[in-house]
Amino acid sequence: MSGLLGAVASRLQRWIIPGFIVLFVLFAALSLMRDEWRIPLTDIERGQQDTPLGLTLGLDLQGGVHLVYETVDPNPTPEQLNGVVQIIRTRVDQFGVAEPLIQTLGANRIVVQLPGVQDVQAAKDLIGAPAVLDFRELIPIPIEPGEDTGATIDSASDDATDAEATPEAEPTIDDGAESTPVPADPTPTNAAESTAGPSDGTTSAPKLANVSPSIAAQTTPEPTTVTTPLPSATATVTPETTATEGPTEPVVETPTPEPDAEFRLEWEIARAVVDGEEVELTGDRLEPGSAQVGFNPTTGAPEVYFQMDSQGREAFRLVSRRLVGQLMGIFLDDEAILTPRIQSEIPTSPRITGLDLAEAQILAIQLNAGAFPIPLEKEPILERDVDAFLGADALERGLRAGMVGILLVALFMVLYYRMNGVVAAVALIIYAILVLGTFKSIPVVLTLSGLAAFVLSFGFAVDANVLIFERMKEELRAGRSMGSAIDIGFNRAWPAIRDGNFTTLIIAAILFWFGERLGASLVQGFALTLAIGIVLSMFSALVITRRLLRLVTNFEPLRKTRFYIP
Amino acid sequence: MINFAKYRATYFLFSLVLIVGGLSALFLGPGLSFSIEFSSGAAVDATFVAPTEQEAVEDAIDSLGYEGALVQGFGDREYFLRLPLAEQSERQQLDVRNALEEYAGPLQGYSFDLVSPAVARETVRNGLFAVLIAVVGILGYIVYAFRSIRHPFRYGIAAIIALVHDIAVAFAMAGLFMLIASQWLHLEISSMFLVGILTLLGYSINDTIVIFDRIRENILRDTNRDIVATTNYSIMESMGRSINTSFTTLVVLLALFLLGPTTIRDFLFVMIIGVVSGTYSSIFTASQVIVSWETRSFGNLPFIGGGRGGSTSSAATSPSAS
Repeated sequence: MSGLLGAVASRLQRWIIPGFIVLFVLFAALSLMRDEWRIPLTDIERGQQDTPLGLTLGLDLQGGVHLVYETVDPNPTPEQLNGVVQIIRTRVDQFGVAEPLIQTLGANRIVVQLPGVQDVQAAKDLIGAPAVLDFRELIPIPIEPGEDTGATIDSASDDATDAEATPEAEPTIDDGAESTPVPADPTPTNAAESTAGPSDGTTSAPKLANVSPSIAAQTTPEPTTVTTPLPSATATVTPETTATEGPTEPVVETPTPEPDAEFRLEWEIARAVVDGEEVELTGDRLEPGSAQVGFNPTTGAPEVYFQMDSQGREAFRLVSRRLVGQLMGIFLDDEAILTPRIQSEIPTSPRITGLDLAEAQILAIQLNAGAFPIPLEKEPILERDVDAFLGADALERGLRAGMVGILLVALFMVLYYRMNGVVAAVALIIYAILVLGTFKSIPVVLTLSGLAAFVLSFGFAVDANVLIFERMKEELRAGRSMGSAIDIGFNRAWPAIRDGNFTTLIIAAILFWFGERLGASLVQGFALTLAIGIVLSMFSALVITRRLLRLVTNFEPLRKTRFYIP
Repeated sequence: MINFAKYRATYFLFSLVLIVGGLSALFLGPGLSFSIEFSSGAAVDATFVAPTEQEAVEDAIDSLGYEGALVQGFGDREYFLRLPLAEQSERQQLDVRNALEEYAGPLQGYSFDLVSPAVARETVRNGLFAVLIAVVGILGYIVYAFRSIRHPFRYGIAAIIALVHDIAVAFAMAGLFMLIASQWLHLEISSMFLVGILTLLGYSINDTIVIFDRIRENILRDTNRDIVATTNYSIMESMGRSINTSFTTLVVLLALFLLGPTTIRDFLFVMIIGVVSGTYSSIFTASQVIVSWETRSFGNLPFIGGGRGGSTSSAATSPSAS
């Protein structure tokens, strides 16, 4: 009875392990061929199109941008950091990047990977800007004793000088009656020409954002009320420059605050009391998702229009009534993009004009996504762009070099170790299938350094085989039978294989830590690939090679010792 | 049997000359500079569609208002640029690609890397930490792995000496390379260079352990043999394996170095030197340190005519090693 059970058990044992190996290898091979077989272990997905075997390629092999941003505050809460990630994700999604990766990194950093992006500058403008929109008015601020009263620099009142410099460029009068928004057309034909109307005359500098002085109600009941003549015809002034210069001209012009030496004017966020509650006119008052790009029906210039919530609309109406005859500032990220003079009470949300189409589209996306909960450094602390050409070139050269190297190694093994070498070469092919199948299943992103680690891991996989075969040869020369030579060879080689691979695993773990701290995908890709390679190469040498050798030596014509000893 | 141990003083001298010579070239010649990953800045690799004058490229960089930019040309179409970078708070937008296309013509291939000073400082700190942890971890593992034989600590130290030897050789060769062939390939201490150094640590220790493993086995198996004979015998036994493994690894590394993409050449250079040096050092440095330590003698120099204690060591060597 027990003998029968034992026989069954030993038969099972004989078949279970090889069966398992065959299934494992088959699965790995199939996973390389079929996309549906991919096991989704993580939610990280990156570019997949047109890659060999459907492997996930890193940015250095397919081209794209890798950016690391840092918050200004070194210790944000996880909620704040995740909030920033969410907003960046919304922006990037609306921008239309295929398979982006946006993740937090450490306590105060965010990694953004955009595969295949060509216009890096536009992408950085989209991601980095905090997109804090607010509406401001000029408030007199008492001047501290000792401050130079005559030459107070008002950072926001720059427009006046520009008006002096270009007095002929008079502002538009935007008739509210005809300012029904035109739906955004993806291909604006005459937009550039149309802007060259009498309003701002900006054709000379099409690249610059001309701050067109128009503020208009979208749906105005009284057609005549909303007109926006302005002192500021900053036709050729970019928003960047407007915020930095600034003499004090509006101080004299503005009627309400006396041009007293005791005061200077500063832009402050406009406030109004609505239903007994003080409301600040900021981007928070925007209806989510309401920002859109449209075109001015008269000039054809691109405009961004949006809706404010009821409190915001009411507050805006009250503020505009209070500011009739005075300036209002529309600020984006502390830079004045529009400073119209209010002609009359405005009962609805304003529009933002004076941007080119690309800028208008980015602004609309940013307004819809909302502002960051905490400020982010505008420029990335780490940036890596590789264009698609270099990526494809690197991939091609890497694959070709890897193939050549691996083929040469297989050739050497067959020539030097004969039958053993053939077995090792087959084991190496299985090893390659296993590694690539693992890459695809996890999935591991294949970077250039990962490719190098993969090719290098062949060296380690071969090493284990070489160690075993050398030991086997010794045993065969000592006159042992084939079966016991195989067993003793494997057993004797094991400590060296274990020790050597273990130290390399230590190195891989250290490198992985080093890479993770930096968001350096190059180093991490190398470490991860090396670790996977080591584990699988041990499996390949100790299990697959051994089984294959047993299989081959069971076949009588291949048992001759001279096939194994050179 | 070849008496490897007999000329150990020669091996030590050879390594010393190589390292001192190479390191002199490193410090006196053009030397190795740190990549932007460790020193911060922006690095651009731009390949133009048509041959482009260096002056046009320099004009493009000037238009960005950058001082201290380094422009280096490879051939007449490819240029390598290095731009210094201010601290984060004073940073300006840097659109090199547009400037290059505007001033110097359309680009075929373009890559841009930027590392801010704060990140670079962090990388240096983490890099040093990584190397330190690697050395400590490996030392600990060797002592553990050789705990069963006499003087496991000596084996650990011998392996570390071989490691230091290999790293020194890698830097020395990089210094020599920069002196002779920097026009062909510009080596830098980059993060991939560091990855190469750490991987070389793993490779070198692997190779050393295979020989030490034989020594361990042979000491336990045959207690009659002395350490010199045991070491010679163990080297003989593992020689085939060492050379074959190094050869196959070298083949794949050389294929990548010569045919593969340029981005990881820092890494490949270090690894190629490391594989050769690692194989050499496990036979001619690590094992010979063990022999010298156990016999308390450095062997003799054949050409100079016997170093310190040369006669005693040959007396100790000759009887058993046949």
